[in-house]
Amino acid sequence: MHSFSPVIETLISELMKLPTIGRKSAERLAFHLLKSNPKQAEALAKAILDVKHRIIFCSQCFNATETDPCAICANPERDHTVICVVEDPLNVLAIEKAGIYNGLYHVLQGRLSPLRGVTPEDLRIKELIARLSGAQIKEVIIATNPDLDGDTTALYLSKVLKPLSVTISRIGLGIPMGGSLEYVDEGTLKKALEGRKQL
Amino acid sequence: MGIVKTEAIILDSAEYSETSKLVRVFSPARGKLSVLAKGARRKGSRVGAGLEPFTHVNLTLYLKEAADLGTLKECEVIESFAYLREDLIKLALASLYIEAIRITLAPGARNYSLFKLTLAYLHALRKCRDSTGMTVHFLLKLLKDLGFQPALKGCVRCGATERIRYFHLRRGGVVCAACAGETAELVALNPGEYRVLKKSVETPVKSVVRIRLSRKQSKALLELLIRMLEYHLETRLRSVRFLDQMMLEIP
Repeated sequence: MHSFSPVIETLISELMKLPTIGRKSAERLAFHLLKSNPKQAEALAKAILDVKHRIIFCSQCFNATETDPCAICANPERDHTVICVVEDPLNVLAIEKAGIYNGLYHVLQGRLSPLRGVTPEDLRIKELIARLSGAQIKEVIIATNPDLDGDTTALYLSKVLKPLSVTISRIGLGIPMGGSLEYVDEGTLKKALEGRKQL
Repeated sequence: MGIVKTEAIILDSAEYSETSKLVRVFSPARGKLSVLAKGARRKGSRVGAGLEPFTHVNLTLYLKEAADLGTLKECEVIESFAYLREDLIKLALASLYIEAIRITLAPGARNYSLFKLTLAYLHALRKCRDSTGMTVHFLLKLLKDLGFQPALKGCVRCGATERIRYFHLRRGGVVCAACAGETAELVALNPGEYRVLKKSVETPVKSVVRIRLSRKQSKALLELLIRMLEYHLETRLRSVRFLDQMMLEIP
C-alpha cells in the first residue's frame, strides 16, 4: 500500500488531533500547506507557537490574555461590581462583540457534565467563590449555555453562591430572535413564559 | 432502508462540526443508534432542544441498510424530563442509569422492555422523595434485563440461607459468613440491606416504587450496584465522579 512520506504523515497525524478534523480533512490541509507559499506556512507555525508561548490565563478572571491581569480586569472604566460567569474565552469575545456589557468576567474553563464526569473541581469555581468573598462584587450574571450541561453548571453555581451576599441572575432564555413559536419545544416555551416582561 | 420513524431516548449529545450535533439514541426497535443532526447547532434550529440527553422523542431518520449512523430529518419532543435540570442529585442518578445503558446497549439490539423500564424510571424519579432508593430499584431491574441479575436466594458457594454477610462481585451473588474468605471481590452486606435487595428483585416494576429504604440502605446498595456494574462492564462509569461529589456537597 502506498503511503505518504513520513514528514507528510507526521503533519497529517498532528492535524488530525485538532477537533472535528478527520483523516480526509487533515490530508487536504496538509497538501494545501505543502502547495502554499513558504512564508504562509511559517506565519502559521509562528502564530501557533506565539499562542502557546505568549498567551496566559488572567489570574483574576481566567480569560486568555497576554498580560496579567487582562485588559478587562485592569480597566478602571469597567463596572467592578458585576461579574459575568461564562464557560470559555470565546463566550467573552461574543459578549464583548455585542458591546452591551461593561462589567467583569469569570471564565470557568468548561462546564459541569454528569455524563462526561466533569465535576466542580475541574472548573474555576473555587476561584470564583474566593473572588466574590474578597471584593466589592454586588451581582453575578450566569451566562452558561442553555443546554443540559450549561443548566447544570448554572444550578450548581446558584447553590454554592447563594450563601454569599451577592445578587445572582442568569441571562434570559427563550425563543431566539427570528424564531417561530410553532417549532419551539415545551422547555424553551416554559423558560420564555417564566422570563416574560411587562410592556 | 430509507426513511425510518422511531421513538427514542437521547443518551448523549456532542458537537459535530460548526453547526451539527452527533447524538447517540436508544431506539426500542433498533437498539443504540448514532444520529447526525445537521444544522442542529444553528441559531433557531428546530431540532436542537430535542437532542438533549434524557429527552424522549419521536425521530424521523434517513438510515442506510445495515448502518448504525442515521441522518436526522425531524425530531418531535414527547417529554423533555426538564425536572432533571432543577435537581442535581436526580440528574446525577439519572446520568448513571443512562450511562450504563449507553455502554451496554448494542447497535441493532432491539429491546422494548428496557426502553419501557427506562421511561418508567425517568417518570418515577420525578416525584419520588428518595431518589437514591428509586435508582437502586431500577438499576436492579436494569441488571436483570442485561443478564446480570444478582443471585440472592442463598450463598452462591454452599447454598446456605442463613448468615448472609457479603456480596461476591465475580460470582454475582451473596455469600455466607462461613464461605466468605478473603477477597477484594467481596462487598459487605448487612441483613437489612440483604432483605431489601431480595424484596426489590422479587417485586415487579409497578410495585417496586413502594418499597421504602432507609437513607443508609439506599446509599450502601447504590454503592454495591455501581461496583457490580463497573465490575461486569470492566470500565469506570464517568458519571460516578459527578454523583459522588454531589452526594458529598448536597445533603
